[in-house]
Amino acid sequence: MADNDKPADPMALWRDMLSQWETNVNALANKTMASDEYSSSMNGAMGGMLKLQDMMKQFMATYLASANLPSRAEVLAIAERIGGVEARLDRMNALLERIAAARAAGESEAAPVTPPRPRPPRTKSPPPAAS
Amino acid sequence: MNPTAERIQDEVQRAIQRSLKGLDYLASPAPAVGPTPKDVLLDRGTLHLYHYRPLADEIYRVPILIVMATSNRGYILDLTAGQSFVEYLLRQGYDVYLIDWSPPVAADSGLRFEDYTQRFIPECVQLVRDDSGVDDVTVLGYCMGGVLTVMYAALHPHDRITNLVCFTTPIDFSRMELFAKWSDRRYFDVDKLVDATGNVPSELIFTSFDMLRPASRIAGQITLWENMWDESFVKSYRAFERWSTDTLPLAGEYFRQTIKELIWENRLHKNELVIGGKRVDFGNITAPVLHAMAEHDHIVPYDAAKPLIGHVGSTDKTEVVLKGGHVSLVAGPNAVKRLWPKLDAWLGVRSV
Repeated sequence: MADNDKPADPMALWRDMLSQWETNVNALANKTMASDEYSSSMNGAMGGMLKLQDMMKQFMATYLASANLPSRAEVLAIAERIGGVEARLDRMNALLERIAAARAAGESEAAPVTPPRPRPPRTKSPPPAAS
Repeated sequence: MNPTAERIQDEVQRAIQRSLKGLDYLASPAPAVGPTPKDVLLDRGTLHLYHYRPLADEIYRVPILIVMATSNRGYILDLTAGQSFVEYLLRQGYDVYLIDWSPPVAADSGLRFEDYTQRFIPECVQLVRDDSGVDDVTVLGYCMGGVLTVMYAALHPHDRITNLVCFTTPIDFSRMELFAKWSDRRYFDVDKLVDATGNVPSELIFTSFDMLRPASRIAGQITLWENMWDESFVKSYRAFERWSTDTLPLAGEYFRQTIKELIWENRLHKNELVIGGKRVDFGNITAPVLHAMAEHDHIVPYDAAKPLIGHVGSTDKTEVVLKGGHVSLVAGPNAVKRLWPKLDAWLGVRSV
């Protein structure tokens, strides 16, 4: 028997057990989660959380307005604008790095910093076996 | 040395390596992903269109536009060198464009199917035409990207879609049984959720996927520890792990439509879905179609995906069912051997 030539793999049994455990737990969990009771309780919990979140939102909006502080919506609007500025800075940074690299390579300043996109001919045919 | 002693020595070595590399693992940042060079053709809000730099000296005439799923990042298709679907396509001589999504912001909460299928995809198809100088385009959609692609193709019968390729694209949403159960209209108030949150948080999307296989994350971490000595395993595991936890929020109105129109009413499967006043009629799809599905897909089961081929009006249509799961179908060592060459063989002859 060929297996006799190979040393026993001490981890093989462990791997089989792990795989079996994973399959069984997933199957059991799927069965439980497919029940009406699970769906009802999960969505009930989410409904409760949303209600609480809504109450907190209203409370915080009133509090922030009275304390003369920005609301979440206003902070999000600023975050969006900062995101745009960061993206632009990233692009400028990448451009500067390419300019620096071109200079370090001894290229003239007039040389294009971004290599042009290659445009190979659109003449390829599939290999004979595939056609 | 006898084989058993050799084996024990190997295990001791591995145990030492596990401890050393385990520390490295905890201290090192997540691996870099998306290594294939690309240019950004469009960068507007949640929508991004990339053109990957060709890697072959000669390319097929017809370019490919890939539409990524809205719930996940596109880098799963360009994970790491040697495990990149995009890189594979480029090396086989395809000209590759990709629509990727970034998290929708508060102002995007009103985005609907109409925006994705009647604005974003058509605009990108036109940009691909302008950029490549070719009118014909192959459109390839993955998961919900496939659903949007099918909707787009059915709504625009006069656009010259040369080929339509779908990966694990759900059509009969009643067969996505756990999702259907969790969003049971008797218990799930989608209006309350969307009205309260605007965009549906990524944590909810991640948890929904994770709960389909609740033991798999723990089993995966144990397997990672066991293989901690193996650098290539760890690198690959981390790239996949990074991607699977990097889910995107969904635009609120888009999510509301998905629940009501697709899951509750199953209108896409019934050929009754109306978007922007137009019916999404599968009969309008006449281009060659390839639909690749996975045998063990726990997110989009085979029964949910299989009706596509029967529905479309095309005469040249192919269904492929391969071993693997929802993600391993398109990325990782199995995909390299199975799906990618299969797609190349099908698409090459239809891309000239």
